[in-house]
Amino acid sequence: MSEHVLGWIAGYHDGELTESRRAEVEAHLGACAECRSELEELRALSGLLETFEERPSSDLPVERSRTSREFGKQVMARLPERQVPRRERWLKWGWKLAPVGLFGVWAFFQAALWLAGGLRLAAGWIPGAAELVQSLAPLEGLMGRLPGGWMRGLLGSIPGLDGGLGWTPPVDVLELGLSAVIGILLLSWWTGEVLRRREVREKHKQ
Amino acid sequence: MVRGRDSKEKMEYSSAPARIDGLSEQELAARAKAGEQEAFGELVCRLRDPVVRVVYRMCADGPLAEEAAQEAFLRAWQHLGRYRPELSFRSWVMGIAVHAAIDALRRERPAINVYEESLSAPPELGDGSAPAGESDGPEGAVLSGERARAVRRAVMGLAPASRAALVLREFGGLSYAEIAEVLNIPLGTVMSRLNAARTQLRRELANLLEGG
Repeated sequence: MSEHVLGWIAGYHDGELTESRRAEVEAHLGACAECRSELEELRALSGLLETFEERPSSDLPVERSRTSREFGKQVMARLPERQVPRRERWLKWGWKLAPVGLFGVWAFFQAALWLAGGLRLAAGWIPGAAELVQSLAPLEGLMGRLPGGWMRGLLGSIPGLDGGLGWTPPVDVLELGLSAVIGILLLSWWTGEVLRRREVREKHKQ
Repeated sequence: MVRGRDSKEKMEYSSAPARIDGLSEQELAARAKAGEQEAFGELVCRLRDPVVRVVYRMCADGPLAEEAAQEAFLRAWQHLGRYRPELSFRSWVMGIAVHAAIDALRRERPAINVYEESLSAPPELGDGSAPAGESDGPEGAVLSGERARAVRRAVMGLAPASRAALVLREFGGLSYAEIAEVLNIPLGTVMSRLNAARTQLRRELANLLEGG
């Protein structure tokens, strides 16, 4: 007789074995009373577990359907707002955060410029400040072109605004205007989101 | 005002079957995942009985099983974004339901007496089967009742982790791989927990198993 297959009996009982393993176990069961008895005990246990007390409400399909519908209504009335997975959340929010990123970059360069300006003033009496100012020179050069230079070019192309009026808006005013536009956009998005959430909450309360 | 809302609700529920009744559970799950509440409502109605049945076998308490089943569906809705269609929606919800039942037991009955003779009534389930012992006359009913109570005590005497694996396998019909997935444990652990649960049950129910 082949070796006992006790380790495979539970898998066989639960229908979890591969085709070849199942054939192997079945061949063995035909010849081994001990393994057969093990399988019978597992089957008897499953049958016994079926008697776990239970009381159906009614045999009428209409009654069964009513109970399930009532249950469904109760669940739906308590349904909370769905949790959006991280990836979806990023797709939903990521692009809305773009203005924040832009503002952050602008704030960084602006702070560097202010620092350079301050250091230049103090270059005479703080040791090492002159070197630091020099190291910030490329940044100043970049800021000289952005956004002021770019904006001047743009404004110059608008007839009547540059030269024609004899007045060009100061770069600081332009930067401030740009920041205000970004801020307003951001605020409107957030307000819209808050209102939408409030609306969803009200809907659930109903 | 109230009447208006009631009639609206009635209309929503009566119109639901006409449009989504023919869809499979997986199709409904996909729609629900896309945010369609109506599809989720249909899933709740369809899966209520199997989920309550599994949960009841985890906690042996009718009202608690109903509450845990509701909680399971609410959690399922909240985390629908994490649901992967490779797993059947039914199995996924049953896994959530088992966790909800364990949480409910911890919260509601920290000192549950599993050997208590008369636990609360089981939930109303509509599987169409006759109640235990009903067809065997008064004597048969008493014997069946005693056997059912013994089985219930033995199952409730299992450690929650082993009980969860056993309940999902025996009453939920989940495969080992599905149990591993929903309980977030390795396949080997599923087998060892099932083995532990069955060994303990065979020992405690030896008299009933021998007596047939």
